[in-house]
Amino acid sequence: MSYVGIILTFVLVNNFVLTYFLGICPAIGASRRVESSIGLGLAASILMAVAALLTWALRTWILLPLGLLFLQTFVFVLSILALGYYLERLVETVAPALHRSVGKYLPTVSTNCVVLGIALIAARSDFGPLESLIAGVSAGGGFLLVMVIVSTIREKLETEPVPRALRGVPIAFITTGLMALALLAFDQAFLRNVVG
Amino acid sequence: MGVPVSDTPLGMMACDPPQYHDRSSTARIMWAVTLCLVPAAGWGVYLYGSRALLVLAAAVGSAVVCEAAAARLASRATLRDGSAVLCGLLVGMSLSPAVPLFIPVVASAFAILVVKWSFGGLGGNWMNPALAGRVFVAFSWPGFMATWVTPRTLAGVDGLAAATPLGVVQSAGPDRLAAPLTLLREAGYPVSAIDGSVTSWLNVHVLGPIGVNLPSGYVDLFVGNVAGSIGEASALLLLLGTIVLFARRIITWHIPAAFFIGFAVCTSAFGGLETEQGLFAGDVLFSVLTGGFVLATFYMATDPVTSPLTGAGMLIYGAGAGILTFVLRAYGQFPESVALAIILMNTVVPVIDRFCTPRRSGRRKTRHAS
Amino acid sequence: MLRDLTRGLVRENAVFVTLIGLCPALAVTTHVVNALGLGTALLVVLVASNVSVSLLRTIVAPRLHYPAFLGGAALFVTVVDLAMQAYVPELSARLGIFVPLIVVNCAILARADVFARQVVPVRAMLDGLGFGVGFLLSLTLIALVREILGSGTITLFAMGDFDGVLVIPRMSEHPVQVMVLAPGALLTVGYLCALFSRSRGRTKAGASGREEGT
Repeated sequence: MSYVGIILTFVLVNNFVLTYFLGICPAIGASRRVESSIGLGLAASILMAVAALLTWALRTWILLPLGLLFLQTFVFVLSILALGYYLERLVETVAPALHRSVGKYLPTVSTNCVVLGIALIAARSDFGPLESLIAGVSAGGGFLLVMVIVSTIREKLETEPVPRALRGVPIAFITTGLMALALLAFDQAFLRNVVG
Repeated sequence: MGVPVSDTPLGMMACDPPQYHDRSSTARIMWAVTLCLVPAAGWGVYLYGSRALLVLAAAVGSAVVCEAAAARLASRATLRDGSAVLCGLLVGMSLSPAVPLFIPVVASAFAILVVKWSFGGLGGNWMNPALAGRVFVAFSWPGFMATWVTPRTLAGVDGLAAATPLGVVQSAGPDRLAAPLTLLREAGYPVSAIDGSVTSWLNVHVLGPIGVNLPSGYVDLFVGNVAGSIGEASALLLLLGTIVLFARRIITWHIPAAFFIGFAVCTSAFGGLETEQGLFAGDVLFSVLTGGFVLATFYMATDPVTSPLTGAGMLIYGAGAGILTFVLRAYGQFPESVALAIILMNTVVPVIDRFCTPRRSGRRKTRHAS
Repeated sequence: MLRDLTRGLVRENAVFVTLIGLCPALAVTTHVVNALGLGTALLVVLVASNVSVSLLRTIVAPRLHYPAFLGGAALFVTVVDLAMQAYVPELSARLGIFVPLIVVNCAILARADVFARQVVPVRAMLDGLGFGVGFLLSLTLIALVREILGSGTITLFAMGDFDGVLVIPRMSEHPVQVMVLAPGALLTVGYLCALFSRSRGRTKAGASGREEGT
């Protein structure tokens, strides 16, 4: 797949939140403040990009040569957890300001399905290193985009007379559902028409 | 809307939707817009006969019944504000006259119950209900939605395919090497006598002196002598209705203008690429006069509840919708995607408002659209 | 003791109430059989993980809890994944990455962290069983709604002459295809959530659905 195709796939056509439903918990649960959504989304994007590259390296240089591919899930999970932990320590010492807004979310995000999701998808698609990196950045960007939009809409909804039974979680789902309906515009046919 | 505290069962103050200062002015606006649409809807009924009337009636009836039920659940009386009738009419007008009657019923029900009342009724919704309802049925029953009828004015023409102009262009595929109007002629669309005489009159008296020559065929598209959705055929009648909208300041120029410019710039620049005519060879006039473009830009994208509050925001929103309409028409799965483009832009309206409001006024909107 | 079992079934139902572990709930529920398969896989992993966490609770140092929980879950998931590939390859292929993704299903980590590491193995097992069955039932409910409306069918396991697909006569002619697409999943869960919190609210005042992220 071309690089443009990968970007379109992970930002729009197979948006993590709206078509794979990965990272739906933070999108629904933690998205009531726009600022924290941006922080969480950025942390996830960074971690997804690095994790996609790291898990590609682990898979290609360690698991495949040793014939240990069945341990893939196990190795990926623990390496992503460690990555989140050390990345947070790194950000904390290098850029304390960045740590307060974005870095502090890194450990939380490292146990989220978006990061393991992109690692597994990149592995299943047999992406190379650059493709994995681009896929990670794009999927993270798509996740960030949805986080920002959903949280902004939910901030607006706080002043609307939403029926009591639907307030809170249900309306967040209905909101993302309507977003997903609009995003059906970008489907596989669209991808084929654009990248051929 | 401006619901007083005691009126809401939720015991909370409803936020004023932009431009709607009180209930009576909301109702006046809604009924005025509805009346402006009647000529175009009437033209659709003339073209397609009683079947079109049935589809319109099913859409409006379903919208009204759902509105009444939802309003009753919420202990409010909203039926007379006219928004349900308008929503149903817009849904019906954007459908093919050939659809089975359950489609307008479902589309209107989805629009009113899911898109509007789940968020607390008119003013709470952030997505245009009529467009969302139409998109919902388009993805649910794509086959029915792509079945068209030959209009009365073209009946009896030999070899004419019952297809919309945009459908003709899309089915010609990416390898087509002819301009859209040529494809339309190849599909059997004739040039009517009216088109011939109006075009030649225009060329002699109006366009000739300024050095422009209008090819024949566009006038047919403009007056609505063409297959398509019930209410989208006649750009002329729809534009006549907008005179009232502008005169009564129900809509402002920002969104339609930005929408048109965004779409026209993209179409003229890149619209000719597929036919290998190079850059700046797209047929803007054809693209604007076909499909639901006029209905959507003037009557749907301008919905005050689901569009930005400020002039600058409206320009961004309109231009975005115009560009997306071009992208989705060129690369999307449906020949006509103006509805999808608008609801995609609806999702980012709160974000636009956040960045385009001069001073952060907290949760309550204090500015009204200019 | 009995409360350990019933807690996860309704009162703190993972899908509709505490909102954890939703990714699979949405993605695989286009067919009932997928929901049953993934629900069962999660049930097995959750029980195994809860028991092992409880057994290891005094041995592992607190700062290593997360890696230990996740590592344990990853091992169980690997076993379940390999078993599914061997015995139900077709189902395993349809579930795709959502079986390995059970590791980071919030339900596993949440139950380990909140409950299993503080109690004896039997209680941890009952808790896992309750939450797992609650999850399985919720998943099946969502899948039933979506598949009936969206395809007009109910897909189960193929057995003997029965090809595994129940066709609902009139519904299958012109189903609401959006329901098996992404928006259908989100809308279904949204309205089911509202129904669930409404019925719960009748028995327990003031409960309108807690929100928990991640």
